Amino acid sequence: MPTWLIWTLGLGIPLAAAAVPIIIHIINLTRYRKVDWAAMEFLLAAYKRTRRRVQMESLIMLLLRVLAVMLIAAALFPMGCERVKEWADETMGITRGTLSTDAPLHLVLVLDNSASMGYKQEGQTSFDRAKQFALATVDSLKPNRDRVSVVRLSDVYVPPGIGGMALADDAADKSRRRRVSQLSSLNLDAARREIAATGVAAVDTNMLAALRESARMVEGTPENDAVGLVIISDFCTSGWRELSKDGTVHADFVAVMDRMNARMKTSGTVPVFYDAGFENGQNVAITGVRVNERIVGNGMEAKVLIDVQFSASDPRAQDRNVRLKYRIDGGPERPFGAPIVLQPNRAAEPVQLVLPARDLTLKPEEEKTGASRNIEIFTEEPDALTTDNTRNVVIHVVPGVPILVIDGVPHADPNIDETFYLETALGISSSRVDGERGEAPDVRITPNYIVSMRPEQMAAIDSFFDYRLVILANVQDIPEGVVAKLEEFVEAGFGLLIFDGDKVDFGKYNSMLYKEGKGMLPAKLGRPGGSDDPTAENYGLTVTGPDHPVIKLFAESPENLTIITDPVAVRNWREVTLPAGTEVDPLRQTQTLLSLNLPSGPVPFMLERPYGRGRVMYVTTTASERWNGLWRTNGLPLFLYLEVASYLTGNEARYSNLSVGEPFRRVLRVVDVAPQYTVRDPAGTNVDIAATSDAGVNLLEYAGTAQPGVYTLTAFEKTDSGEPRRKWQERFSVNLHARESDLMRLSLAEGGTEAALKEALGELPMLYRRAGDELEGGDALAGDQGGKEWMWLAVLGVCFLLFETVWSGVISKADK
Amino acid sequence: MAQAYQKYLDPAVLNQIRHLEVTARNVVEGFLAGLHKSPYKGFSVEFAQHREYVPGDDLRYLDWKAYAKSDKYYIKEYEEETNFRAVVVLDTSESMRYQSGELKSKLDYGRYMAASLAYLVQKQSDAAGLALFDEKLYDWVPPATSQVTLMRMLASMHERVPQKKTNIGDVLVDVAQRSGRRSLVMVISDLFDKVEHLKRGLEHLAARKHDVIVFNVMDPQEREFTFDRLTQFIGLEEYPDLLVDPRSLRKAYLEEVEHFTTAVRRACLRARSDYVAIDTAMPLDVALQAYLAKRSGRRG
Repeated sequence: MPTWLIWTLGLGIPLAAAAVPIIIHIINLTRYRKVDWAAMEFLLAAYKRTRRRVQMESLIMLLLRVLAVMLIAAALFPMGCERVKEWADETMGITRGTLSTDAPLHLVLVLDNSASMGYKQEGQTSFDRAKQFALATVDSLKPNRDRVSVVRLSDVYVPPGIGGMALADDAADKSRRRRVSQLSSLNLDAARREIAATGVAAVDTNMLAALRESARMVEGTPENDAVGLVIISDFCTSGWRELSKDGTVHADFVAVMDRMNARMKTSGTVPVFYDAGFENGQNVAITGVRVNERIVGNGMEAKVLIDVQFSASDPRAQDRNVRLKYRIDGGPERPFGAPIVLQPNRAAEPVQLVLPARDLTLKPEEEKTGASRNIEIFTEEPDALTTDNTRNVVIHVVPGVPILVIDGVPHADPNIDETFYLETALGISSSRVDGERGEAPDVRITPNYIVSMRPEQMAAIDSFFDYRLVILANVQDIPEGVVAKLEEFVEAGFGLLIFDGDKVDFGKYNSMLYKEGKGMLPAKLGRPGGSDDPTAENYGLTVTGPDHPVIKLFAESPENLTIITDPVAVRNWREVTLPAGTEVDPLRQTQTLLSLNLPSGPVPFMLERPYGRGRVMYVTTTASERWNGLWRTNGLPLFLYLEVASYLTGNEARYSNLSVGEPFRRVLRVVDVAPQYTVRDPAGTNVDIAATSDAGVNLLEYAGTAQPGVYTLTAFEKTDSGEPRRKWQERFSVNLHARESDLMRLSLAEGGTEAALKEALGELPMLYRRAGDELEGGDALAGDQGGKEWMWLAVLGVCFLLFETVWSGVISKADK
Repeated sequence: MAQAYQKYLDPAVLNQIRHLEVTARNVVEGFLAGLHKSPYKGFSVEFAQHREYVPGDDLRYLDWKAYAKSDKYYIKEYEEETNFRAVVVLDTSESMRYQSGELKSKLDYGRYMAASLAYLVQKQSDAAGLALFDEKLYDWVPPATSQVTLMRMLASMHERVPQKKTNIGDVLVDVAQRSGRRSLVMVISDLFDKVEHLKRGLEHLAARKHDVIVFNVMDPQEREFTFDRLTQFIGLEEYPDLLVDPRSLRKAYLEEVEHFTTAVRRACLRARSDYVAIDTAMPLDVALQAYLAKRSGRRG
């Protein structure tokens, strides 16, 4: 619709409508009848008594008629009404302020397109409302003079990091700046196109980052130009809580708004916060899915834990009954568990799904390569925010996890052999009886298979990449070439576990593996501690790192913790010195998981250090009973070393389940290398990717994880005829950030979003507007809640006019 | 001319009221013989008709001859013949010409009333007179029993065109003086004057021992004020015009009217006069019957 017509409708119709009662009133004043009246004395006395009241009533009645007609007109012409509001806002200084109309305006538009903006109510999402306002704002600017910079939340989003490590702040800022600058200083047509093309992105809200980018643009506006700032969001606490008065980055928020305000003050403008969210949002979401087992072996069971939450910004929200279903690799839907009763805004117990072994058994053609299974968990009934009603988790089913054990003291006698017990524990398997004895299939407990070598055989190994974990148990020293291969192996993302012992040449270890804090070894080794006397006093263990994934299992309950703390069976240990001073590498911090509880104080027992993309763990005592009697206690080594092995071999699965935007990486073993790799995203688009070599490691990297869902990576080899043929295939899942599912809105107990914003901003000026205060869209009858309010007012206006007509024409007696 | 004023002698009206007694509350002193408190004992009592006896009737009026002939009890009824002077005082001021819709104007209605009353009085061989007034008493027909006097009264009523203001106080004083002997004064007016003036006139009549009946004639619209749209009221009797929405004034107006009628009633009561509110929508016979029945009920 042309602008002039919109203006005509917006201003002309309500004003014309308002004039109707006044015109009727004036016409009526000229259309009266004349009556000769005898009882004039009474009439004059009555008139004298009531003149003021009658005049006031007459005026009020006229005003009510004007108001009623205007309401009807406004309801019938919402677009026009909206334009009038914009015009009024403009005159109040939202965009142009007190500047002369000739000054070019640079409008910085912060557009929240995070996942929560996809919340839909009455056929309209929060983002639909946001776009409408954004486009209307751009329409109100003057072409060929004003310009717009659009800062989208999806452009300032930086995924958790590469290899699980967060980007440094400056790297993240650089990444943001590059993306945001693509939509800066757009002419109005380009801004309209970009806004119209923008959709809801499955990203987390990082409003502070968006405001920082906005501040950079506001401050970069030429001095003679005016600058305005409009922030459009749903103001869910998921993205705004940390900015609020009690939030963690409140001071940063105020500082960045203060900076912008200083510049905008010269333009006479103030920031505008446009609230596109819905007041009474309710959302059931699957916020997390995790698998107990890091790597699932062929024919193993797996337990999936599902977090479900029900967030409601409506205090009257009732409990919800939710039923979950799942399907594997797009197969038939299967309900599981009883319906869950979710209380609003209360944490619920995780729901457990046990995947039977038959679902995780490899097909014959997969037995060599292994395969990935995608488990899609979803709610039976989708709700208003559909993106979080489904969550995927990919489980890697492997034929076996190869673990290389270097036995420092090989011996035929299991009691003397250094690794007999360890190998037995790591390779343990069992048959489980589910029904009648002997009918149930064997269920593996671990996927591991052990390859044992003597230390002197290490030199002959070309590459450790055929294994996922290498264990050195009381190995005297390591040849230099082997150290380099091990470093390459660990850097690529695999694990190294080192047990100490009496054979270890700690000097060589320090020089080859510790390297003054730069090597793989977590600590500098010293002389052995304790006593060689078998009758000497033993010491127990204490937990130092309860949050570590390995220890977490034990630290979950006091009962479990006794598995670690009860054994008092360590007689000898290696005294170590943790990195300090210049030896501390900030990217490779040593962490102590367990300590020996000595009378003089705890000394390290189990240590970990990240190295490249892999990890190294070191135990200060022997894997055998040479220095301790742990194997004869309550089974601690069985549980502990299984957890450690699972942890260190789980790197491969680390990239199986990603957050939106987090890049996928995969280390290619020799057997995985293929001439062509293709990734198919959830929308079905295929993208070819090429392998790269990073420090000798072949890597596949894919950064297009913008949408939640399941991605499939396929490696193709070529047949003799040159035709591509699938060599192997695996999946990885990408999931939404859980906090975007929380639709609680930023508000104070005694006030709404506006009050909370004002409190957060303190003295800083601002304007707050809420979607629904005006009618949106072309169809007034199909508007949102706000539109309905307008319609009710219009109905009120009609009722008033009807009542007045009936009252004056029928109820009050007509003169004869 | 003769036909013009005879219209006020509506035969239907007269037929309705001819059998009703017009009696004074206090017996008017009369010229004629037999004018006593018991007029039925005088020689001029004239037999009118028989009717069947009903329990409670005075046995003195039982017609024994008729009983002997028919073996049924009959009561003899007589036409009363009481000699007294009655003066009808009719307001012909400008305010009396108001009329709403199809109704008669207050003046026309008053003329009918006056004619009917005068005819009734004369039919009983009593003397009837007429006083016409606006701001002063401008026409006086002394009470007489002759048919000529009745004709003159009717002619006088017909000739006057209402133009002037009301000044009822001075007029009643004038009537009191002109009436001479004790009379029945019947005032027909809308009384749109100061209540104090009315009060003074009534007190003057009472001081002269006259019996007074005040017929307050108003149009229904003046009593109910049901106008429903913007109206310019053009003031009669030199009042200014007023353009107003009557709905907004109705309540206050009715309060003013009520206040006025209450004050008039009180003034009548103090002067021992009867007050009868009449509106022009009421049939003439209904108005007169209501009043005469009331008077009759108080006799004795």
